[in-house]
Amino acid sequence: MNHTSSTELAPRIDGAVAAVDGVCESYSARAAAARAVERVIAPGATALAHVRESADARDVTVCIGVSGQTDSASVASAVASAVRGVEPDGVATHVRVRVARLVAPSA
Amino acid sequence: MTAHDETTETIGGSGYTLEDLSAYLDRNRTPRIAAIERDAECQAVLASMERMGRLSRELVAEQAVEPLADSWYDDIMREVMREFRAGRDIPLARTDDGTEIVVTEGALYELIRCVGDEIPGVLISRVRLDHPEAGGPLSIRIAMSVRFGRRIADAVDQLREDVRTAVERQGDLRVGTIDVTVGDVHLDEEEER
Repeated sequence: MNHTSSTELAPRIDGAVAAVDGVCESYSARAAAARAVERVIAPGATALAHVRESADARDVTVCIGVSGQTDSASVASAVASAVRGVEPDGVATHVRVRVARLVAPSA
Repeated sequence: MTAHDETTETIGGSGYTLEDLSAYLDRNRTPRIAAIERDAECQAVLASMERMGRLSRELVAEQAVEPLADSWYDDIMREVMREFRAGRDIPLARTDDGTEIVVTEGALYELIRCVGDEIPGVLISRVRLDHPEAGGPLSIRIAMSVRFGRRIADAVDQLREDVRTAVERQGDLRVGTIDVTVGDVHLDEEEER
């Protein structure tokens, strides 16, 4: 099995998420404390998706903004499918999609 | 325990305060600050600042004799900052393949506030959400101001209907009670003439 590292995978996941119809914005999925550290060490350099690897599984968290006019659950479901499609390498993957903003449509 | 000064409290994981965001918006978001642009809570607060800024300018233009007090904008923005903190994650939908879909409380606060502010003659001053049990309906409490001359019962009915529709459009979310308090009446151009 060809295993992809989390640092390689995360930017590709960012691209896949941004391409999903209905996703207005993407945000950092890291916890606030991790973002505070990141801000000091490497501001803006890391991917938005948070990928955590363990021995035989992978946890992916993405954080998105969706128009308040659409069903965010449908968009988030499509995002989860897109995330799974990035690296179908057989590693059991738990995907968490966090809708952090229900964005008003542009005036 | 010391009192918390909300003007110096940072937003999300950005390290920036409400005043920093206000200055950033005044600079037209240049130079770009990644920690702000990548942070959902900062983006929600900035969007609200832009909305409130537009509204303030409209009201100042309409009520030229009595400009708005600075405290009005500040009070609303402090309330927005409290509400838009991400808060708890609320399940939106469940799937069988290990996918977890959640919405933050902050996102729902922003949605409710936007829906209310879009209703003519209505200004939202405070929103509170209660989600007492997983899978159960949300209870919503809203405090608002109504334009002088607008029939209050109609404004409240429309607010309830629009908020319920907007929230229940989101996955499995259901709304229980929506308690609305009209705490103020404001004037606008029509009443000034």
